[in-house]
Amino acid sequence: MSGTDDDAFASADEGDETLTLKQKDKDEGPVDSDAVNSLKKKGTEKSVQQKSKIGADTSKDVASSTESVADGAVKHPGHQTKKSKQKTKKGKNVVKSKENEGEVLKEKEKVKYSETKQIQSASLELSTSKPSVADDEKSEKKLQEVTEKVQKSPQTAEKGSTEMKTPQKAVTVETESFTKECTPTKDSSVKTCTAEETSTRTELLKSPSSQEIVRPMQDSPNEQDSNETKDTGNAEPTKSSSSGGWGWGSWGSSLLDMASSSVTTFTSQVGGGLNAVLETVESTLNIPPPEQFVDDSAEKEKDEKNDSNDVLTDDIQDKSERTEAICTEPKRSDPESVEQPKSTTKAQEPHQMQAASKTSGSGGSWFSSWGVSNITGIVQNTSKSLMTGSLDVLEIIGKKTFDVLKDHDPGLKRARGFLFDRKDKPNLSQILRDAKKEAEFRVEKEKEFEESRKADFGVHFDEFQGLVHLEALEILSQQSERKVQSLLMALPTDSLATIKPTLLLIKQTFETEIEEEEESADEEGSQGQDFIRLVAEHLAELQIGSMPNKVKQTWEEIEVWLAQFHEKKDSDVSSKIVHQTAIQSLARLTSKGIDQFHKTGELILLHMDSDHDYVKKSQSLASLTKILCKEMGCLANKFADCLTGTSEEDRGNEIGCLTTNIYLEASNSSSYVQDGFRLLLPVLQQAAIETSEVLNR
Amino acid sequence: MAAGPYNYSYIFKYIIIGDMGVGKSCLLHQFTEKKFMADCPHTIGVEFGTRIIEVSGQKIKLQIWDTAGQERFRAVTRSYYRGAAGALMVYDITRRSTYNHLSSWLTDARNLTNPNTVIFLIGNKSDLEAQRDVTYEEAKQFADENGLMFLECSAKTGDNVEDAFLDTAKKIYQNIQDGSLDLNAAESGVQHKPATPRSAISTDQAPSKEGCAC
Repeated sequence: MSGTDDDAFASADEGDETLTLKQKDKDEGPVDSDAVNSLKKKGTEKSVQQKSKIGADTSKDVASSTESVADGAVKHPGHQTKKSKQKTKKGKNVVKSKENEGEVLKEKEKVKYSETKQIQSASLELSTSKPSVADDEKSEKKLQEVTEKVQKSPQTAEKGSTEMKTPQKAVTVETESFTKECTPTKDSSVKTCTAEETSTRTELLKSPSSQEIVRPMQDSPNEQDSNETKDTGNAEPTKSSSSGGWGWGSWGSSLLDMASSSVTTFTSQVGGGLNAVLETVESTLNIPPPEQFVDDSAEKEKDEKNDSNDVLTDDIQDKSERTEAICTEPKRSDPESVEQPKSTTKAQEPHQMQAASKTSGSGGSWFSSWGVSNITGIVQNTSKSLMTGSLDVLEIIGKKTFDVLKDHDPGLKRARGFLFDRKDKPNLSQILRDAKKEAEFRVEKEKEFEESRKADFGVHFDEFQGLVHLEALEILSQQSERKVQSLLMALPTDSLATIKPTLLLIKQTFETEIEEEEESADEEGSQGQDFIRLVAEHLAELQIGSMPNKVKQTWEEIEVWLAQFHEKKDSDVSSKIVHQTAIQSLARLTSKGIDQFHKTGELILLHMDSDHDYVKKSQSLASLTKILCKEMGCLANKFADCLTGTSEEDRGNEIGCLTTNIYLEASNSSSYVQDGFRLLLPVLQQAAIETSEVLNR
Repeated sequence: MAAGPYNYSYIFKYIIIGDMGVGKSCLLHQFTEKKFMADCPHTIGVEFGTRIIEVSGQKIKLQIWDTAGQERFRAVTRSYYRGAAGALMVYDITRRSTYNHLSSWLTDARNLTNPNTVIFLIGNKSDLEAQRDVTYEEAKQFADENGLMFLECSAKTGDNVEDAFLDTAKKIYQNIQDGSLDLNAAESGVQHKPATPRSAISTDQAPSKEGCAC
């Protein structure tokens, strides 16, 4: 999943919370993957640094090839690294592990968190000290490993001799183990020297075939990681060590370009995810299938070790059988792993002489003390040259990746931002929880919105065109107003004197009627059909021709609903519905009232002639207004009665509120009707003037 | 009264104009109710229709003023042109006289609305092809000459009715988007946020008192 232990620290092994966070990070796309890559690159560089450091340290102390010292020097950091990793896996503070760990880890942490400059200087230092450090380290490691082998088991001497009988295979084994060390799984470079691994190696040395047992575990996870970058995490016990392959695959192409021709072969081993390269190598070398290879080597081993190592051979066979069983992806991982050492050996042949001359001194003397043949020297030289090569490659890779990293991410801002910001980010589960809450809230709000719409007077008044009729009536009124003004200006003084009383009378009617009307609202009068009759009467008094009586129609529909409500009596209609109906009815009746006034105004202007008494008409209109307003109050009463008749559970405060609201909207309706009425004043005045003007002529 | 909850973000004012009997009210009814009104009474003054449509993801309420076509109402209906964002000018393809009167209607529309008002020419009763009296081509030419949008519709079958109303709305919306229609102008015919019923009275009176050009 992640490219380095840096990543592994914070993510994969820390449980669900971190996992979700990790996924989130991943979702954030190229920036983060870049950061992961950069981490990976850093990891690589760091491992190189570690190696060099270890090598440098040990070479100073153990220049004279004291096996025990070398062993300890290398082994110690290895253990520490492992321990610290376990700690950090458990989610402990990174800083703490930093304190506890030796120089190696400090260096590691520095690379992770320190300034760019430090990294730069480190790499510079690396490149300058490279040749000697690498060589020294290489020899030390070699020595230490062999020493381990010898020390770990009493049989080692015996095995050592056996090993020398099969020089080529031994080389292969060494190559492989070093290759593993050199793979970008950073920590493995140190890890290989741990007791556990060393003992494994000791066994491995018995036969190259036994190597297979280790291989699949290390290589196949690498492949998985590179191929399926998601979700391999928890299932992998060896996760942190195997995670290196992930990033290698992703930036492998650019890496290959830079690593130039001499390094190409080696690079193929380094990147577990670089399938293409490996396949090419595989095909060119014409490698036999892994099973066959294992069998062949087992047989060879048998022949060679026959006399001295019967028990061991059996062991080997068992292991090779197990290997076949263990390998989950034999086609993918095994051919690579088996073939790698061979190609490595080939690639390193040119360097062999050079490397051999440098390292033969200490190694050779050591082996001669055990009385082995010069084959040992070849084995050693080969493996040493391999190590040199691998270290060189690692250094080059480290430098190159750092350069690439710097090119794309100046000042490592993104990489650092990725590391530090992560702590501030909320985790995915929290985000999801919040999103859910928000969605629920929104749905609730929408419901409320719909409910409030249903019970909103303004909405219904608009819906029934009351508002737009009022607007049109206003336009009409304004137009009439202007007309009145211009007519009065134009009228001769005598005509003006004639018309003035009429206009004043009309104006009085409009003003006084409203006051009266408020008083008369208390009167108990028009009930039921009276309302319709009165409305029709007053409309007829206006003498404006046939006009659809929309008020009547609406009022009848409301009455029907009320009658139905009282018929049911079982009060299965909720107070909410009653309230909504009440508001809707009031708004509708008001709308039709305004509509009626609007039409009246238009028709009055249309039917202007001398026969009309506009004072009388204005009185009729005033009466109509009064009746309408009164009816609003009556309706409010009726709906309030309905409300009190609704189910018991709805009683209490809510009913009170709803009733109050109905009365409020009823008075609102009344004021709308009065507004409409008042707007007619200029219309009637205009009509009065124009007709009188006609009379005058 | 506080602002009521509305479920649209714009109101466009349309007016429908044209000679009596060309089918203005039927077009409106077809658009709002999706039904054909067979025996439509004469419109008195003005009638209204509304429908909420969606243009570019925006809910728009069309407030349509369906004016009376009778000549005697002309004086009254002229006052309703003001502040229309769209004007649908209708003629009857089976009656040439209604087509011939278009220039008069167009003059009114141009004079009484603002310069950005979208004027859409509709040749109604396209279902009565046999009785056609005005060809599509000449009407199209008239529309092009005067910069009008044009469609032949049938309020009876509903053919193209929807398109006429929607195309007008799209054009208005486009004008809003490219800034040629200023929403803050008193007579743009477009309200961005619906006014509350109560405040509508007071606010509408203020600007109209100033502009007494008509």
